[in-house]
Amino acid sequence: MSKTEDLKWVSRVTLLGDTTAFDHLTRKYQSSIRRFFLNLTMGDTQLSDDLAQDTFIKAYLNLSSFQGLAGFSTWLFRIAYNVYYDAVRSRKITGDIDEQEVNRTYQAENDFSGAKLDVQQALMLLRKEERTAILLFYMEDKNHKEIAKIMDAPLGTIKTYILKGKEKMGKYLQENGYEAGIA
Amino acid sequence: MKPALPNRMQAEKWIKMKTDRDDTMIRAFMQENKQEVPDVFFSRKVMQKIPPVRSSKEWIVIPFAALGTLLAWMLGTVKPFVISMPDNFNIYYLLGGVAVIPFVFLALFYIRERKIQLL
Repeated sequence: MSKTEDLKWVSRVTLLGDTTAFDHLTRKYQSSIRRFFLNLTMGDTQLSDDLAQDTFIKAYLNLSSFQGLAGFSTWLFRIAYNVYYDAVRSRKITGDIDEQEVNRTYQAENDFSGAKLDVQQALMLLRKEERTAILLFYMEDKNHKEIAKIMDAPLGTIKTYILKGKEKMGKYLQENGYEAGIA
Repeated sequence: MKPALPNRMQAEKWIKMKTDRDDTMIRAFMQENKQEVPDVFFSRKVMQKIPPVRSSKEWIVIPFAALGTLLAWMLGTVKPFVISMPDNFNIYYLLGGVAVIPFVFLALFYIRERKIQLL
């Protein structure tokens, strides 16, 4: 899981054109990227998979621009974040997305629905930026600096997003009687 | 009688305690609901959609197969190269084998590179 290992795979793709090395990277990060999109889209698997696919294809096409300073995972999440916001913007133009009403029918059929329902309800209380920052911080275990790079925002702004998101989620969890260790 | 207002230090301490408690609670909640998403052909679909490597060298198999076949034919039939073969040996088996082997290796290479999917 080390950065060195990722760099090795990346250099095999960029220098040797070894597509199996990219397959290795895709397998390694598909779960975290798809989970990130699933939480951002409130459980829409089809949309999440489309966005995740776009993310990996863009990563492949721009792999030569990866400098290895931030780590491959952070770089990949940065692409994922841009892909998501591009999709939100384009769908807003055509007016066919309402983030508050995403796929309720899907949730009933989804394998993750039982466990995810509360997470998604809690996430729905947050603004898009707060939601992204909270997901990256608590679920994907990114630190403030990495989130600032992913979201291309100042460190102070990221801390504010997390603080505000934390207040809203904390209140929600307390009101719903959540206690750590009791699902 | 009104309760005494907490001083600034107490207020800061209370806010910090609340923030820490929220932090622990949210981390536990998110980690409890963190699930691994199974691949289920996802990476295969991605690999099928990425553009092919431009500097493909597979074409080299065809001239090498032709050259190998020519050499095998020369070894078996052309006078200066003729090597002793068993009486019942059919040169066409050798020619066929030499011509086919590079393509077998190419197919194995494609399978390894996931350009051909067996399942």
